Amino acid sequence: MSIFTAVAPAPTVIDINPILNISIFGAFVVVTMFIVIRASRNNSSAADFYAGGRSFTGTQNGFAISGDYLSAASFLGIVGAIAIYGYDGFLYSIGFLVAWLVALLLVAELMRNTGKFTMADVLSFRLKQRPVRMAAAVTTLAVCFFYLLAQMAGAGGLVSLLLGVSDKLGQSIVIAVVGVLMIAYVLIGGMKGTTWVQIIKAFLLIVGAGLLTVWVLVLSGFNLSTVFENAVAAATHDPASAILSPGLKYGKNPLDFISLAIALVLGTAGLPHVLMRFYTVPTAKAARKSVVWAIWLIGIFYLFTLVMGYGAAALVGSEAILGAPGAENSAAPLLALALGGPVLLSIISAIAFATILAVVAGLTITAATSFAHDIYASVIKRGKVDADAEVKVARRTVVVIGILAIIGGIGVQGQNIAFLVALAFAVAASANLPTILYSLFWRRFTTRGAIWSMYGGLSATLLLIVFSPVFSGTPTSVFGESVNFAWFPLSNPGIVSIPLAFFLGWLGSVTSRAKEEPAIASEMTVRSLTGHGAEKAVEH
Amino acid sequence: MWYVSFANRRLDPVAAELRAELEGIELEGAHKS
Repeated sequence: MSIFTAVAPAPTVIDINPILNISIFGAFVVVTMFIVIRASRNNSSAADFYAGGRSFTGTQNGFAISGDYLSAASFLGIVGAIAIYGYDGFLYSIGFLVAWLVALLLVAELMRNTGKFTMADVLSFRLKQRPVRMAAAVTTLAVCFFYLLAQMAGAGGLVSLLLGVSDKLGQSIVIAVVGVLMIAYVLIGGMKGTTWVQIIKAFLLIVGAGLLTVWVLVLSGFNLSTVFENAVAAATHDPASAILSPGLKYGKNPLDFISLAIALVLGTAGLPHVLMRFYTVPTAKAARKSVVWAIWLIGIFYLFTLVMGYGAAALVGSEAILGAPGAENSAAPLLALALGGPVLLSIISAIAFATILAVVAGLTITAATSFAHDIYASVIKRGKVDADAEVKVARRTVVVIGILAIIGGIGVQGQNIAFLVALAFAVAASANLPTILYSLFWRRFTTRGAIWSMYGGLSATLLLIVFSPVFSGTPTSVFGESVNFAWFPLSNPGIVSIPLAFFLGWLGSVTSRAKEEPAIASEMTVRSLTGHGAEKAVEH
Repeated sequence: MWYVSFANRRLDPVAAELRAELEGIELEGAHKS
């Protein structure tokens, strides 16, 4: 306790050094751009651009998956949520981690064996190509767009804290810079370059978070109980020990938490940018190894969030965090400032920006691949297009998506970022996962079932979100408290939309008169279980 | 992690065996035609 109180008290005016922050971030961009250019020298085929030549090892892909998954929401959002809401905030970490069991046990290896470049490759394998690919591309683009908006909005919010830019124009310029860098990484490096950015970023993020964690533990004599005791001592809740118990955030409506948890746990295995990562390794065994590495890395990181969150509560205090620009999201940077001064703040800030940059690059290449491979090549050109022309379209799509993300990111500045991420997870769990599982495990699944499930899941999710307290009826709603059209009581629609999507998939299949070809279903089963006929690594 | 060691020890060799068998059948068919 005495060592904790010896640390400088939480600053009310943040001592920032924009030049130092920009220099460290600039160094990250220069180093990663150099690596991306080197990695892209062998980018010649569609498999190179979309899947990194399927040449990554399980360990490398595990790091890249962690880099893709540990977004700004994980680093800044969860640490902030734990610092303010304690136990309830940590439940995000648990939900995000448990989700990987679904990916490991049900999806990773089978997807790797069955697909080529996109999620739609698997979903349309034994169903009618054009309608299923179109639906899968629509849901992929929806998930990627909401996820992109959240990351871009996060970049805008962070910059006010980290670079001292508080006006809307300055934040918009930073969002545009992030967007342009994202376009450059993807255009130059394709999946190979993007993967290396994610590997470097995952390493930096885990090292940075580990440094903060060890520092907090050193101050508390490597005793976790002391960290909790100090957080309770600094808490302003009544009673102060409430920060260690469930209920601060979800006590009023536990059903809302259950709904969010279902979306988080089931959403991960339906996130298109995570699924695409399984195509960057040469075998199903490597895909399995990737997930095991990802589980360990993500699990360790989420344990760090527990110490960082309660450490921030003790050393910075919830009032100082909520009063800082960026509010909850500022907990991790403020903890770095309290522990190591402006230099550590700069390092952690640069890591936070790198986090956003790597995640948006991964999302962009996923969305561009889905448009070029599924919509352009399969739906518009009906498969009559060569691979070079398809990649050319993918590159153009990257630019379009980048511009849309910049415009959207500027538009959602100051909006609730967590709502956008939760929406992306809810869409993935509702629109994608039921169809993936039915396709892989239910032979009687039909095209109608897939279409009903994907469009039904997507529509239900969007509709329920619009009529939820997220959009109206509360002070934190998009339209504020004065407008109220929220007839759906929960902030996350998962508890309704996910079972509904499963039901629609079943109903569409059992009522469908046109049955699918049983021979192709058998071929898919053999391929998914043995890897026979699966795409091989590219030789250079 | 029980599943991972089970898959590494038991499932992967079986899958490799089946794959080799299928590739052999395909090769045989290609030679005949």
